[in-house]
Amino acid sequence: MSVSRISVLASIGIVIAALGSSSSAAAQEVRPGTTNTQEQSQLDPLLKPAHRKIESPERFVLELKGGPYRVFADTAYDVFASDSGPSFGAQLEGILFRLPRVLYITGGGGIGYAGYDAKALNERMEEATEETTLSLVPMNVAASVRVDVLPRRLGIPVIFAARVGWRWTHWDTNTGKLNDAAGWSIGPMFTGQVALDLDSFEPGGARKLDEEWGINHTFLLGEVTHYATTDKSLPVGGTTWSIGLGVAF
Amino acid sequence: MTRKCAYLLWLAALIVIGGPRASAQTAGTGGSVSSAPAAEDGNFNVDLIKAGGKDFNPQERTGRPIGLEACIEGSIEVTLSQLPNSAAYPYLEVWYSTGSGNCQMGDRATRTAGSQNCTKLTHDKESEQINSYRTFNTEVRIEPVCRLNEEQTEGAEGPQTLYFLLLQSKGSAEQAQFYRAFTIRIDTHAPTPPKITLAGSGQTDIKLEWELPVSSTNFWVAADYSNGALSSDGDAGMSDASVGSNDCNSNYLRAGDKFDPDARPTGLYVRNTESISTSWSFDGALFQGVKKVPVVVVAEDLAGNLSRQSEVRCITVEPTTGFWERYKAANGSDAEPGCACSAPGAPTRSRNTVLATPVALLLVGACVRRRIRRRAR
Repeated sequence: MSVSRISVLASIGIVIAALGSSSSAAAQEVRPGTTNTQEQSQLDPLLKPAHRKIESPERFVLELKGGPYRVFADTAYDVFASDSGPSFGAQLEGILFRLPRVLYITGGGGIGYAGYDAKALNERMEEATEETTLSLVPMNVAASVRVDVLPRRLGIPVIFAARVGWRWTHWDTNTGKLNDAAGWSIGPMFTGQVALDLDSFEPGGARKLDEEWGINHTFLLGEVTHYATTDKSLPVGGTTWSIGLGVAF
Repeated sequence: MTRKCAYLLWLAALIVIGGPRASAQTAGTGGSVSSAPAAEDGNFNVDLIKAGGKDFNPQERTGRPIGLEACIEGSIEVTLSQLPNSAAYPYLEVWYSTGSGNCQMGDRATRTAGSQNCTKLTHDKESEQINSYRTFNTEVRIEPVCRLNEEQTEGAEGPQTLYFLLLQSKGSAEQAQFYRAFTIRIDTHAPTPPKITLAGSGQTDIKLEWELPVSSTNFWVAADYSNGALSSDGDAGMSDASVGSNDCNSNYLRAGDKFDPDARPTGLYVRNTESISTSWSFDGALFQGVKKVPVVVVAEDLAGNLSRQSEVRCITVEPTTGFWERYKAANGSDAEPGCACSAPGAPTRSRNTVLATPVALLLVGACVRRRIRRRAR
């Protein structure tokens, strides 16, 4: 009992001493009354991102992205030739394995949307004002590997990622008010991604984002995806690119 | 009685009678004060609740004008409330002035004569007896107001003041002791006709687009299908538009003609929407045996005034082919994306199965992650 009391008192003393020393150290290096958190982070070695001891746990990676998405190009039924979508999507993956400051292995899923419209044709094969439409809602389950060793260890703000998954795309096509058909197109998808690590440019802001929102890393991404639909599916696949913003939190 | 004493008595009587009038002049809503003895503004309220058969909701009562048609053909319904708690003034008269005066001034003879030139609106009855003191609903024929405005200044619009007078006796020549001036707005301007910008073609979604005049708040669409037939909305089947009439003439619709929304001759399809939308979509299945359907659009303003008919344009009912037909044509007549895909009537893989798969995979992923973490500990 007495030992624990002594240890508690000693702990409190150490904490008070540590607080005193840190505040005096900060007082020496940081201008009094500054509200510039970035300056504070840069001047105080204890607050520099490279030295920070406490980082919120990373559990997920979320990407929001969009880009042109052409379908049926160079086919006899390329009705939507002048429509490139675009497609918008979100990908949320849980971090299955993290090798600190080297790579992540993640798994999860995504959902998106793309819509197309074109004029329907009359019997003379002229354009009517009536429209024919196609909407796509792609969903996927995927696993990714994300290598962030360059920004974490060498200060080069480039992240590489690759993703393999299976995509289900719900499609629905209408002409005027008639619902022509609807169904699912399935097939594997492969994605290569290059991302620009934003933490490297604004370490103070990144730290603040982590402290206030629990967002560990942010990055701008550009990726190329190949979606190969099966033979029996409506061929809404192809190779497309998209750009977006991603966060690890 | 000495001359001095008589003079003092006359002065006292003048003060007693004239005092309340003076105070009423300052508090009244009747406008300018003249040398004529002023009636008392009796603190009762007049509220418009219906005009031309249309209800006026509280937000619209002061701002929404009454249209010419509604004004001439109809009457307004008003509520009088907070009436004086006295049986001494049980009769109501409503007056309207085409002159410069205020109709609450003076007696009946004064009101109808000279520059005041007031007209009594409640001419169906000599005057209306109030059957409840504190609130009272009554109809007022305002047709004379509209007629007078129409005759004097064609297309006149703006506020018109009605005078509600409470009187002691029916049809008396007395001066009203309680009155309320009440303003209504009459809009006799019809909106300009809309301009049709697109009369579309198609099978089930035939677009009609137009530009509405700024003052309009509502529109009417009329389509002449008299060369064919109209399917009822409920069981509209597919029409064989390819064999329909190509005639785009109309017996009912003519550009610039007056539009009567109540006249519904056979062969005229009329729809009205209380919105300022500038488009309408026809389902071609509605029209049987017609290929060209003449259509017009008519604008309506807040007061209910209708524009003349727009120019007559024709929508075209014709079969169309969309993506799916083109896809099937390119892949053979029986082409249907098979695995997990469907056309109407074709077998479909259960949507639940498709959605359950990614969820199951996510759960497996979570389990794997948990195991890895346990091992790491």
